[in-house]
Amino acid sequence: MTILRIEGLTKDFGRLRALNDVALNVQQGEILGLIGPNGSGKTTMLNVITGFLKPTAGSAIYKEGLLTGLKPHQIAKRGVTRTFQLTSLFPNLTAIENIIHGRHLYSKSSLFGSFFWNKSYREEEAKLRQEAMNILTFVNMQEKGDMIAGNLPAAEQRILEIAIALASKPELLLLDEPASGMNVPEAASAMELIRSIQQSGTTVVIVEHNMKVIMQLCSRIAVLNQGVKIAEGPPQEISKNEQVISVYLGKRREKNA
Amino acid sequence: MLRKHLVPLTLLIVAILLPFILTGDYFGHLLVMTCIFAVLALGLDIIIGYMGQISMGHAAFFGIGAYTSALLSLRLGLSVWLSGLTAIVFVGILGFFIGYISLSRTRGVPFAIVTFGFGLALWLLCANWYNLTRGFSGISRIPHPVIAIPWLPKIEFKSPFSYYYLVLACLFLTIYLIRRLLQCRFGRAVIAFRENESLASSIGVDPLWYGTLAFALSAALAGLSGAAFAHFVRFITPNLLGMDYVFMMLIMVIVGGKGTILGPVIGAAVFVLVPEWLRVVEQFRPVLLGIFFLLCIIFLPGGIYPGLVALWSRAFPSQKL
Repeated sequence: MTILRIEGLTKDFGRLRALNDVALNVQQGEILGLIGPNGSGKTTMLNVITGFLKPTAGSAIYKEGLLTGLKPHQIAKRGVTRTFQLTSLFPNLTAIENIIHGRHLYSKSSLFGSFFWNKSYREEEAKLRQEAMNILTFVNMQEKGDMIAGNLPAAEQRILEIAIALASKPELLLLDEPASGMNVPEAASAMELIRSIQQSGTTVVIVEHNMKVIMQLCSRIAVLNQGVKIAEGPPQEISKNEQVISVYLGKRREKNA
Repeated sequence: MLRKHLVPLTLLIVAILLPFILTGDYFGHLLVMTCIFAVLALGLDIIIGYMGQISMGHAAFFGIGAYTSALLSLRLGLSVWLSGLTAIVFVGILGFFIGYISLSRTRGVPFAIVTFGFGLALWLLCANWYNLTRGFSGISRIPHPVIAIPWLPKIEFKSPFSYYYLVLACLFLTIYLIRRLLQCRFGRAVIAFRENESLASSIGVDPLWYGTLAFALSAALAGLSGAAFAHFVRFITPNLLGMDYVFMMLIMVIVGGKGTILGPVIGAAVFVLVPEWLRVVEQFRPVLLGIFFLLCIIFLPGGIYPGLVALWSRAFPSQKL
């Protein structure tokens, strides 16, 4: 079943066409890889889908509902959450607070309840903390709960970002280079985490540079180059695709040229 | 549990006993002013410390709170309690609209300038709507609050001593409100806005809505402070909406320590007390006051309160405040 349908998506920045008539379907439950060289429009595409940028033309339809034209927080409410290419968390709060703040959509602790310290408020707060702890445990950071997020090592900051995104209970999670800034073993465990997120029922779209990582992780891959989708299919197919190879490795030199 | 509440409880007891130590109307007046400005600074700190923006329009909310409450009680003969409450609600609603317009388009320095523009416009309105406000002649003989329950002795909040307990109650209510605010969905959304607006919106926080609500709450507290001011000083002019107050409250929050509960309170106390101590060197007062704030900013860049906390933890590393 198609969960996200992107049709004729075009985005211009002045005279630069960052996305050119891109069509893409995301199937429920899959991990879709979105790859392409620098400047090919991957991040622009995430920004357009999640409402951070308005498309010049085209639309993104999520479960029969149009996303285009909605604001980021409205899109999050429909179950689509993204992470950012550059590390983006609540730097002055502790790790667990980061997740509690990320739980905004499902938190019911009102100012009224907080002011009068009533029973439903206390229960809600205990539940929030417990859920946040569960998420921290899920990403294997249960010991880092009381650390200030901005002081965590870079790789753990990136994992915490994913945890914040998970706190908003997404059905479709868009990850923008989640493994950037990680070394090889860190990236490998991040990929493990992403696979377990998928296995828990969340659809994942992942933007990534590292071909090796993405080939192992994704069930399908779409390739962008200069704003145009040049290929889409299972990893084995993509790795043999002439056009993709030429984009990544440069054109094969013509004989007798 | 006891340890957690030890500091606030001690402070509460000290605050209640203070008028018995610093007796006389002169000290009483200073204590009342400290409490009134502390409420104002705490309200502004919601914007500066928790939302991460700067409002330069809050003097207008302070002044309009004062004018609304004064005029309602004076012209319509409403009880001071009712007119004060109306002033708070009215200023809150005004803050909601001004906050919405400012936040829907701007952040950071442009936001400060837009709010300043609104403040300036309201100041001009107040100064020139002579029929309503009597312009710079000001409004005098504003009634003081009275609790008059039949069969019971009448309680008049007229002397600094009695008024102090009234504004102290307002101050502690404000402090409690802000503390509880930070532990609920609304407050967390505001903090998320400050920390990282893009991330906040990507997990479902509507920055415009929660920012506007926070602005309205902050304005309402300025309105409360203004009303308390009007019924104590009993004479108000459009200067309350002017530039002096804009910068006064900014300095209170920044010098005291933004984003903390005690910071703005200390800032208010410093702003009320230090100029009084400098009375002995009358003609140098503004210069010395300037130097004082300069030294504060240079040596305690996070504010007086965070500076004191840092000093404390350096002196007693094992003990946590």
